[in-house]
Amino acid sequence: MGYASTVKVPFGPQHPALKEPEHFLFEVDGDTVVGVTPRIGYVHRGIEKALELSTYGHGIYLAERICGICTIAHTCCYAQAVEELMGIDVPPRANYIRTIMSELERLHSHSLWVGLVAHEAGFDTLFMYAWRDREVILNLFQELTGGRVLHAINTLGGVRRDISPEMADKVRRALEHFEGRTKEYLRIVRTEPTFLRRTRDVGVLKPADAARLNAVGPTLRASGIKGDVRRDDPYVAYDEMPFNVITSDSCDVFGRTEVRTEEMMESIGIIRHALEHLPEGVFRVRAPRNVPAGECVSRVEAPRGEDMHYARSNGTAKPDRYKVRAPTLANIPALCKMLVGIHVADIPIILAGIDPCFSCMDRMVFVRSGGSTGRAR
Amino acid sequence: MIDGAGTVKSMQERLGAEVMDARAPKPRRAFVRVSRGAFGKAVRHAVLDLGFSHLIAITAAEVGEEMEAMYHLACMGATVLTLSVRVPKGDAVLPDISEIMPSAAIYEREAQEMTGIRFEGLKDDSNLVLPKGWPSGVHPLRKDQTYEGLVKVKLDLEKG
Repeated sequence: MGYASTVKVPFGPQHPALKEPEHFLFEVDGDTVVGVTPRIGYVHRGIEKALELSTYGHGIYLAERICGICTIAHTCCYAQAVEELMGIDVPPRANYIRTIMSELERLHSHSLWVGLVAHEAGFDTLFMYAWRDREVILNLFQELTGGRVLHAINTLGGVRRDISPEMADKVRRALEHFEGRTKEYLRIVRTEPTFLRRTRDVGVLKPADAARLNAVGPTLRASGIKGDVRRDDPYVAYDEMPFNVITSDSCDVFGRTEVRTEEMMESIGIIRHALEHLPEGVFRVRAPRNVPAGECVSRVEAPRGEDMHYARSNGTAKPDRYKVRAPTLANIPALCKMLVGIHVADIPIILAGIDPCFSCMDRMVFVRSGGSTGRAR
Repeated sequence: MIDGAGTVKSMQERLGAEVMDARAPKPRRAFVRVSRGAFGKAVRHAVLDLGFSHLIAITAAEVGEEMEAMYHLACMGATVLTLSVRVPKGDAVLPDISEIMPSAAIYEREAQEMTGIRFEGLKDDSNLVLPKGWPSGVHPLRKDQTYEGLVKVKLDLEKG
């Protein structure tokens, strides 16, 4: 007969199904979600305020730390913005190296995600395989940049390290192995009946809703809309790279899996092309200390979608205003739409479906440094 | 698809003297600042007539004695128009645009608590990112808020 009224169920900030602290208040009627209210901000570190208090040179270290997975996307976006304000041209070799690094980052982020969604679907074997194979990319990062997680490869005026011909060969060999594994994942996610049953028609986002709610990245593309900053508003060397913008018409978690896995194949192609056509010359130019007054909007396609930085300078060594909009925040309205009308049991897999990165999203408010962040309030 | 220069031209034609400042520094970028009175008309023209239907974010900033709200809008994912409007600090109120741009509410709430610009008509104007119990007049991204001052607010909050 059902209940006379709905029940409110708090979910998070500390919850076994969430990998990062965030709070969602679900209104449920029996087993069906009828409403959801998100409350974000549990991992705020005040990065926007900190950027305004730091010099441009210092800012790149802060940008590196906005997110642990998309550090290259954020530093690339930051460096682009500041370089535009400074009026300096980055050498072509640096742009190619930035492209290679951005795509390696997409490979490691997407394989991390394939593992996570497999885990949420109860398919832990795939989770283990995906994370094992992801080590190949992390090891490459260590050799290329010196760091597995934070790479600090981008700097104002170019990149910090070159890619030698021997290193390029190592990357090619690693990609050959990784390509074989990715093909295997594509086969598994498309044919494994339990995975299909767990992801098909789960977390549906219709194309009209995806466009109206301004979703970004694979979440948008899995709803059949061809939106990709790399193609629409090319940056670094993407205008010289051959690649397809992958979309899926299934509009559900399965579509999001398919889009990300196929994107990994495209990324492998981009890296190979960039290594093959790597221009000769310097990989870094000197950046001035002070920046003339001005403003600019910089965008990159992070693994989770469009990332935007806005910078306003006032002629000093520190920005007057610096704004960061990470892709997860843009996907929150779409996520809330997906979560209404579903079964409570599907909440974790739908949340994982947008590949949320809450610390990327929560970046702008000052919370005490050390100790108290992420506490339930 | 419309480019930066085309966007500036179209906004100027439509709004005339209400455009306070407009430029297109790059082919896919346009910056247009409009007067407060023409803001609603400018948003509708950009979103409904020119197709800037993707709201990337809203940046709120302090400019001397005024507050500025910048709406970063993209057309077909490519051209980015930064439509801005300034309001005096003493009367920092702007209309909520979530009627024509449903994703705006989340950015308006963020700008509201961080800088103190009030968005009139917001259905839910509770804090989105600041901790529960945060004092209502303290907006962390205002220039008069120092790092030390904010640490004190946070510590007082934790003590209860």
